[in-house]
Amino acid sequence: MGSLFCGARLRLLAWDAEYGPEVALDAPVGNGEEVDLAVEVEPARWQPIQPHDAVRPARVVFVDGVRRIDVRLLGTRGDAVFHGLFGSYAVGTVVLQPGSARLGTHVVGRRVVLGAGEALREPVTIAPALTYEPLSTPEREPDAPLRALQSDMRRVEEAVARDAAAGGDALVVADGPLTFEGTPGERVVGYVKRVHDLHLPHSCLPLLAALPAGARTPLFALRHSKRFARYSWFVRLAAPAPGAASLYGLARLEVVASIGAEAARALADQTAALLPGLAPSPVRDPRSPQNLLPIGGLEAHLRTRLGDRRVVAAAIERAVVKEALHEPTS
Amino acid sequence: MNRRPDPGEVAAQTTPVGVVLGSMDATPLEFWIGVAEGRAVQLDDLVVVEERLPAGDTIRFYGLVDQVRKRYEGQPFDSDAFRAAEGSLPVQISYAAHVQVTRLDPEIFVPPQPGTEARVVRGEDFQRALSFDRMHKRMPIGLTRTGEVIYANLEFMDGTRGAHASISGASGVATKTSYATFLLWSLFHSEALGADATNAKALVFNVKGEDLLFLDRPNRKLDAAMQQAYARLGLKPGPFASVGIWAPAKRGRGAVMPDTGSRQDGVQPYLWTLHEFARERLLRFCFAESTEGRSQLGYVIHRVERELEQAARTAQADPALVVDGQQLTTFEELVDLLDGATLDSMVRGAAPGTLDAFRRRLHAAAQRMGHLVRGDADATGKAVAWQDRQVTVVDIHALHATAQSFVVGVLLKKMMEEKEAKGTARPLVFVVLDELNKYAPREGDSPIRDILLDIAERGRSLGISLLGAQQTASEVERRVVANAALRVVGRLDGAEAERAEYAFLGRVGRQRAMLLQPGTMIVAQPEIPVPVLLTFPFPAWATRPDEVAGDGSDPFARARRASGRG
Repeated sequence: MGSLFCGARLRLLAWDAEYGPEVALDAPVGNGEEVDLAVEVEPARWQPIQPHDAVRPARVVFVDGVRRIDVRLLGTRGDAVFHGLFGSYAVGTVVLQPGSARLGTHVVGRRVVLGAGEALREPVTIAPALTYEPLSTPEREPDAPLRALQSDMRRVEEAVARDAAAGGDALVVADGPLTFEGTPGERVVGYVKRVHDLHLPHSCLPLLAALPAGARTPLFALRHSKRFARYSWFVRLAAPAPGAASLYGLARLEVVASIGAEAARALADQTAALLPGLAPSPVRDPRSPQNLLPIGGLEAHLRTRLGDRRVVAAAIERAVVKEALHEPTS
Repeated sequence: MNRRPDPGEVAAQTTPVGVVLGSMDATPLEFWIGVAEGRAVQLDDLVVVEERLPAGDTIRFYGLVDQVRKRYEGQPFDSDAFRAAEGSLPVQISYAAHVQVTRLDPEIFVPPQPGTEARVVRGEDFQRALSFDRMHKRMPIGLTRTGEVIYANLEFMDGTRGAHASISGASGVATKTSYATFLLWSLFHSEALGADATNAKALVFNVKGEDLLFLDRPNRKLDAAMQQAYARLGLKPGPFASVGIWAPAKRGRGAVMPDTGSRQDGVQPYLWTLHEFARERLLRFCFAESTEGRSQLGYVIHRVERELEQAARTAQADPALVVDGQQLTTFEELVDLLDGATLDSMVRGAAPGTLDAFRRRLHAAAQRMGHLVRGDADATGKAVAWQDRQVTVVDIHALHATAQSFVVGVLLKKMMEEKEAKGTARPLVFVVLDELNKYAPREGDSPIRDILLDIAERGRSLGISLLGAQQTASEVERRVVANAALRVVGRLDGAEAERAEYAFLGRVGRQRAMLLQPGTMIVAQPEIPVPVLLTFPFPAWATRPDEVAGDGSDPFARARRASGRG
């Protein structure tokens, strides 16, 4: 009997297709990053590590942000054309303590972003409580304003994560890799939902595929000339069902290397013990299991803080139309 | 009566609790409010939303909270509750209250603006919310659970604009009789009736148990908290002062003795003389069951009544009756007489079968109520004198259903006739009758049903107000229920609560009626667009022998009273 896929081994990715793949392996590593596998265990003796005596932290703070484009703009000055947008983001925290998960602080930012080095001198007030601060990027691509909005939000995330980590024993789980400008706190881990880069040689693939739920890989170190050094590890959040891709349910975490391998190992054990219990069911979240329950809940909450997009967009459109009608025709 | 708020209470009269929601439709007649964190709004709270209209007017929406709910914000999954409880999922709880508008001031029917502050009102604002400030003559009818006084407009009780109360509820738990007597107490002791209170009367039928036979005795269970409840209502607790208690005469000849249960003293026996029976045409009330579709039988009854009335007019002597030359001193003698040819001569041309049916029924009735009609000398002057006291209690609980109907029918008929003859609506009479479904059933036709219907429809102009109670309003003649201005519901059976008769309760009211505790009622009245839940205080008068103050376990006190006052 012939196979359905002519012998090719095809497996399903778990995320809802709308969100893109959770494993998005690009071109092979070659960005000047140096990977060191011999941090915890010799590369030849790599085995899944199942933390047994990890102490659950008394306080875990998740930091995340959501952003969106309210309207896109196209500007002209002389014969030059440039891109822009009105965009909003919100960054907030969820505080987990035994038996409780509560929403912490949140910050809403609204920016009017222009590309090609163009900038507004003043904030734009569309309506009461709807004021957009100006932001500029020298880049010219259509997507450049969105990238600028994104990095502005990342700056806020960084600040919020720092605040959350300051003066406390809380474990802070920040969204995404630690692309912070400065060195983050010792108890701040970056949580990477989507695997763009394995960082590991392909010889490690069988180990990743065989990682049981709640287990982690040994630590590995990432060094780059332009960023601070980090220790990183993979955690398997949930066991794959039949038909699931072999890299199903993996998340990568990282922490600043300056804390030392021993401290990093403790954090790795804590996260491997903690995070699988926070994985949502596929029914609840289209990005299950990586979009953890506290993060999903926080994102939903933050989106409501941005206001209804159609209402906001309509208000901006009215303001732009009004402006256009009053401009002297050239 | 108009209790002035204490100092300090005024300041605490309104509490901001939240804002009008914009995620649900806000309309002039109903809207939702979101309850702010750390605040609480409960069912039956009265809420005011004050808003400045663009034109500059200030409008106040008053309303009653008839639903409160909490839920997670967003589009949650049922399992989120588990995740939130174990502390892995952050959730936001939305606490909202549905407000049924009771009054708009001024009456500009615009919707309230979402985001406008909502406050829970107390004291004078509470009174305004339910339009009590617009009632010129009002009587207290209960308290809310937060201690606010609920009033009824007397004009809908005394016949000015309406009359009658209909009280429905399951047996045993609905405290229907207690509430009816509390209404009487309030009518007579609040200042609402004014000068009318002095002469107003109540005719109370004690249908079940002995609840109403101790109205004139203080209740020893009345404690300080209950006294306080009366005080809040502006009433002074105590037993009814002017009460006549009447029990049916015992069977047998000789001296007429009351047939009583646990109450011995101060009870007067009642019966009717044969002469009265004939003169007043009371025969029809012996036939309690439906005579509908039996026009032949109805004709026979009518003929015999005529003949007996004739006989009573010719023979002057009360109490006896002379029919066909025969002197009758007992009801049995009348029955025997009609067994013979006398009946044939009274009703010429009737089919023998019809006469037999009449005789059979009369025999059956005589066994049940015959002892209440006598023609001997001892029987004179034993009719219920309901105008002698302010409250007259007629005990019928131990009688057979036929005799009960007879007593109720005869008394109400005479009352109607007397009021009609007088031609004025004053003094007022309040009639308390339980088991209305038995006396004025929806199906079938009977003389007593006709009288109750007559009271329901014309009683208002004659100054008769019926405080009727029943387990199931759905089984009572529609027009009797429909004419009641005050509609009261105690604990209802689930199936009964779904019936159309309780549409005034609304969906939530029906649900709540199934859970009402004794002493709690839902009351609907003409001027307030929503039914209101209220509690009424424990009776200040005894409702059982063991509640009688100074009685109960002390046999000497009982003996003293039995020999002393009697």
